[in-house]
Amino acid sequence: MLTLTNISKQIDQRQILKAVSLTVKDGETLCIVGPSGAGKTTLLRIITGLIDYDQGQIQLNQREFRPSRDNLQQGVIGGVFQDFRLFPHLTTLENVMLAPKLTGLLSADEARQQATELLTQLGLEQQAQQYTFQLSGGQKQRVSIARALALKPQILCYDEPTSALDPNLRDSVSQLLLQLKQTGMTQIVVTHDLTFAEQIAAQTYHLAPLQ
Amino acid sequence: MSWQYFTGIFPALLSGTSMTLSIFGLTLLLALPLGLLVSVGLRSHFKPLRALLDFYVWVMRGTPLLLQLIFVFYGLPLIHLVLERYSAALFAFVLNYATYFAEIFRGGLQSVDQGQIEAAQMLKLKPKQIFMHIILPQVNKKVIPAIGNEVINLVKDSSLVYVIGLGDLLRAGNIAMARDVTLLPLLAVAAIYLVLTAVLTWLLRRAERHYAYYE
Repeated sequence: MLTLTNISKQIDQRQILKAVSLTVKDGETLCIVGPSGAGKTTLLRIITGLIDYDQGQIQLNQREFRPSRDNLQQGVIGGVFQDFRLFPHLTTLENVMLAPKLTGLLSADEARQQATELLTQLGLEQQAQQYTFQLSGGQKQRVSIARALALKPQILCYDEPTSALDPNLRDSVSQLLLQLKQTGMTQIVVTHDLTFAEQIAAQTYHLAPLQ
Repeated sequence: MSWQYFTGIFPALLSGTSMTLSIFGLTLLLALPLGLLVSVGLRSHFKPLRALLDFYVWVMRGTPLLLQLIFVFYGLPLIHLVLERYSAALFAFVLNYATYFAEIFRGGLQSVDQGQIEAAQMLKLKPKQIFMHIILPQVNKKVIPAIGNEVINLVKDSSLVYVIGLGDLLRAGNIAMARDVTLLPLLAVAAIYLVLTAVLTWLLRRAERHYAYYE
């Protein structure tokens, strides 16, 4: 269970987040919704540890957890970026096996096997040897999810998972997220797409822009 | 007469070519990693280091290599730092070329999207792993054409070592020209330089192709 209590953040002397409190229970999918500029992405960057917060507290399973320090070491919270950020010089398979191999989580052979399994689960076995520029947007997103799953995170975060895709792909993304939910994965999804949020979420958190 | 003449001066030219290749090869071998290190230092958050490296790059790029060669060989002994000719030449070449490579690598490093680094951080990769596995391969692809230019320049610049009395290819040609009062040795020298640069151009194209597998 991830709990945020009174999280505040200023960037360049502008208050982006003020006293944000929310809880995500294990296996639950939480949608953070709100208009542009409300600080959704900033909140997600704090949760994944890419930036630190100024005030407040974060707890993971009732223990204090500072993502910028703890998550970048432990990798318990994985992330899928809006623009995917796949590594262009690596094949799809290499993208997925790189982190478990380099961090010592798995041997090279195990990492390769796991990556093959993940890509198969996500319907990408044909693309394993392709480079990312050869993939469609939807395929890139699934590779990005596979890459995050390869580190066996407890929680998976998505930043606007539908915004870089064709509208007709929205359903397949929601299917995928529901499928992952069934495996027990805890998910946090930032989106401005309320229909998508309704399709996938058990719980919604509205983030309003600060005046 | 000409063919016999060429075979006669060939051993001298060959010996000069080996000096040219030796200066070229060792400079490349040492200046490339040094340039990469300097480029990383130029992006450091530690201001004194950045200022020091900026000064180093400014001095080495702002003065002629010929002057630097003279300074290293004739000037450093004034502060009791005596280098023999070959070491002095190599020292000046490496210090000089490292700055050009550093500027090229700096541009390459800047061009790597910050998002790539964040993605790698999220995957628990350590800074050194991010540099070696994510940043460097992408930088290499971008810098090869510019590095290639400097590599070709380096072959030709190596002729400057004559100023401290080293016998490179051009010097071998000059000696033969002065002795025999003919321009033919210089034609042979030009031909050898052209062959060297043709081989290097071919190798550089191969290196570019090696990284052409992705966009």
